[in-house]
Amino acid sequence: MPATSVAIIGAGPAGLSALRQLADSKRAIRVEVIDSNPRYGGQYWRHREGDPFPESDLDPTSHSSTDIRINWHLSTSVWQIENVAGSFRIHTASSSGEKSSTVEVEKIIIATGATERTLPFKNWTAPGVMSAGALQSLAKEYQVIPGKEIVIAGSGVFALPVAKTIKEVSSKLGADVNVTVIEAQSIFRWWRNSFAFLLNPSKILEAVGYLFFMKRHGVKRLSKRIVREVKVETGEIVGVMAVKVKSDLSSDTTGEMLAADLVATSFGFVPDMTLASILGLERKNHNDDAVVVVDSNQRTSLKGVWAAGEITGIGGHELAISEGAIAALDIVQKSSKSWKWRRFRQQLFARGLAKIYPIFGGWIESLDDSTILCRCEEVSVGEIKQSARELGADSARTAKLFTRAGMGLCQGRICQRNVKEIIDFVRKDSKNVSDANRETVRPIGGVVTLGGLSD
Amino acid sequence: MAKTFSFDGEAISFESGDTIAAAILRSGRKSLRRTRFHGEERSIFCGIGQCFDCIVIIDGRSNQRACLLRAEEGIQVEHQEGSGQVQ
Ligand SMILES: Cc1cc2nc3c(=O)[nH]c(=O)nc-3n(C[C@H](O)[C@H](O)[C@H](O)COP(=O)(O)OP(=O)(O)OC[C@H]3O[C@@H](n4cnc5c(N)ncnc54)[C@H](O)[C@@H]3O)c2cc1C
Ligand code: FES
Repeated sequence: MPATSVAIIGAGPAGLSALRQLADSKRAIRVEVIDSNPRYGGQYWRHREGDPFPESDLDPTSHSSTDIRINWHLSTSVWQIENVAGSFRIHTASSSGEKSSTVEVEKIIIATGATERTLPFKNWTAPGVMSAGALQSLAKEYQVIPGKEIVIAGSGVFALPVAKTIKEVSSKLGADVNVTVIEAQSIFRWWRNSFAFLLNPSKILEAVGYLFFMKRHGVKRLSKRIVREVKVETGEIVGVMAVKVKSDLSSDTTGEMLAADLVATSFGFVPDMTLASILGLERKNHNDDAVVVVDSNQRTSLKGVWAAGEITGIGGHELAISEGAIAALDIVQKSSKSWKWRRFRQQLFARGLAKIYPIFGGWIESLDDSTILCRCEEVSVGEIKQSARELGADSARTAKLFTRAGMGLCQGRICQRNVKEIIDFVRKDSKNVSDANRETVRPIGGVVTLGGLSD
Repeated sequence: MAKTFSFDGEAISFESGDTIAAAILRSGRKSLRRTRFHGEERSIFCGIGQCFDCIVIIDGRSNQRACLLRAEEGIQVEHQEGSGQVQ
């Protein structure tokens, strides 16, 4: 095989797994690894500076291969990709937006991962309310726990490792921290998907391990509840109002106040489609998310572009590792049979989890109209509803034109999905509007200053 | 001696590898900015560079993500009011 050049965009589990396979292939390849984080590892392998990389197998510094040349571009975001006569020109910018640069390659593996899904509630913009991922990162990477009475509220398995990290780090710091986990769904939904779990016994052990840990460390657990409101007094969070919900997340009760000074929230993850949409890759709906369409070798609809990890469907780090390996093995024309069996098992598990923790529209019913939905442009739930009812907005895109929701610095990463669901809820014709290829369009993939562009 | 940067004129000490947001939160402070329209206090939200809720002014440059950028000795960090443009 002649020498080739590959860009890996996203150095998380998927990207690093691909890198490992390329390195092991003993082929002459130039690999450009690009990630906006200052360190490689993605969302899963966040670790403290100076600590050993958590997964030694995939630690790029342990590669012995001298055949491939790896060029690292960390603290570097891709904001545009041009397809010029069969090769790609990737435009990057430094995290501060000051410096820009380009990288040229023949092939791309895109592995940009996911964004955390959050649902709005009253006062969720107050300092001290953050995503569970933010709290996880503060505690794990920086040994910072900015609260003593912590509520982790939402839905899905992610609350478990976060609660565990908080307990471990706070005991290391000698701080006395109470943790309460509030889960929207019932724990009994797990029995419904027993088949997916039988094929993945290690996952069951993992879940049981977490439950034991929580019991031993006094983590309180409440289920079938969501946080409707955070109580703020003179700028400080003093508690949360938790209400009992049905499995569709609707509620007709008033709820109870719980003490809290820090609230972390998470309703699973949403694939980050920014670069996929810039490249014009074909997308589809999968477990309610817009994902990149790939074939059995992780090839996308565009020749020379492979996709792996969360952007092809939320499935966790193990599935991301399998997909990254399969993409890379396809590029070096090697067999990936054993990886494909793993991928099958892991996909089944991911589908099981999506069924256990669905997010139905019931949360919208009881939402106060004055609640901010788009945090950047400060657009309220009421304004979004009005745009659907009175101005004819029929998608997150049209609602954006009427209300500016999604037009701010984050480009809709945080609110777009919720805007779409509120519009669907108001119009009750979700079938017409949920087109994955239309909903996830963003003009550029990041922030660049004009000064940075002219460099 | 501990390394420090300034946040609205106060010295914030940090450890190597800290982001600006991590160091500020460790010091017990919460708010990083105030919004353009409603003047609401905000702090970090996503923690990983995606939401832009943590934007501050660093050495005179506005809209810099405190959760992403590393703390460095002697930099001047300011709470961002609105869009951070000087009136
Ligand atoms: C905040 C957060 C915390 C999480 N924590 C956990 C956890 O503790 N345990 C767990 O099991 N799962 C966790 N997950 C789920 C996680 O998505 C998967 O487990 C796993 O990390 C997926 O691997 P990946 O390679 O697909 O993506 P990721 O690990 O997300 O890696 C994608 C990488 O792409 C980079 N990137 C994205 N866009 C660009 C761009 N335009 N330019 C340059 N680089 C870019 C990102 O910086 C990131 O490093 C978390 C997810 C999030 C969002
Ligand atoms: S907290 Fe979201 S970008 Fe910094």
